[in-house]
Amino acid sequence: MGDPRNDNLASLSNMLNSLKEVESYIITDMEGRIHMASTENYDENTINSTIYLWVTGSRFGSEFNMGEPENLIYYLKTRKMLVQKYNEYLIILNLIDIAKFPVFKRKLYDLFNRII
Amino acid sequence: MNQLMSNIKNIPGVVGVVIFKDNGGLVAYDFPEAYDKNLLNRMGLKFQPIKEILPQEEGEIVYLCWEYEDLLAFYYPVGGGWVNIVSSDHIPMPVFSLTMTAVASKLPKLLEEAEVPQAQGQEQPAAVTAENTVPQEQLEKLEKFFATYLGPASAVIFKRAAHHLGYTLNNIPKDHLTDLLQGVIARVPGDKKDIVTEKIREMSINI
Repeated sequence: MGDPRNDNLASLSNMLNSLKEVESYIITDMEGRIHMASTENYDENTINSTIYLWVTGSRFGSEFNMGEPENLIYYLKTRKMLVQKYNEYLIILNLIDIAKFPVFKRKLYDLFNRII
Repeated sequence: MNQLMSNIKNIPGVVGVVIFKDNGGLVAYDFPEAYDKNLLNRMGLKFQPIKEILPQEEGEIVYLCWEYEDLLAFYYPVGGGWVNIVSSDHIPMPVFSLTMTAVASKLPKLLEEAEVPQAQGQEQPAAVTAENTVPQEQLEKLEKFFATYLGPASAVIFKRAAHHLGYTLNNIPKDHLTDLLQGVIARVPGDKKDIVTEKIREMSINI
């Protein structure tokens, strides 16, 4: 029998593929191991810096009594990214330029709720 | 500076503002009293490497925003430094963007002129002083050693293990070297882990 976590990731991947705002995505764990990616052209530095930023946000949340971050908006002049925590994974989403973060997050959470 | 701080603080929903120079020095802050200056200083040290770690080809950051249960934490870079802001999740983003664009145009000159006094009795946390960080030569030697077992990915794995601990390879404290190496050893193939651990111990490193 297959690992149910893989089934879960497969469902998640299908749902991410259906979102028009998503240009590409990488699903990684906190140690930076890639579990799924929509592209082979990912940059190791992006994963490294994402992990640093996530740990920084977690420590900041802990020291300022705000808890764990749920997501991180990574807004660059050249592109928009959203890093979303999902169980033990981090989903690094590259979004199209016209994507609106609040609208996209609502869509994403709706999809999460549909994954059993 | 006070005027700029006040402009940010007047955005509805803003709880606290703190301004840092690129070197991590705290320039100005307006935070609720419960958050003391030492806590804000430590915050500067954690955010300071962000400009350094982001890949050049990523382009400039407009802002970063961590979303917590009902609060947001922003990192907004400007020339010569950055601004951290904590707000409620109902902050009006158009007002925020307009205000921060104005701040970003005026702040670099003020940061250039700003002196960052070292408060009396305030010690810089041990993590950032050169004598308390792992020397670069030692890290390079270790990276080369691990390359035998990890191949060319060794450098990336080292960097990632440091980031996972909340540090970069330039500021990893000596007392975190063991944690760093454990993170790297975890990526060594199973049948080689014991040999690697033994060789590390031979280098007089506790593991």
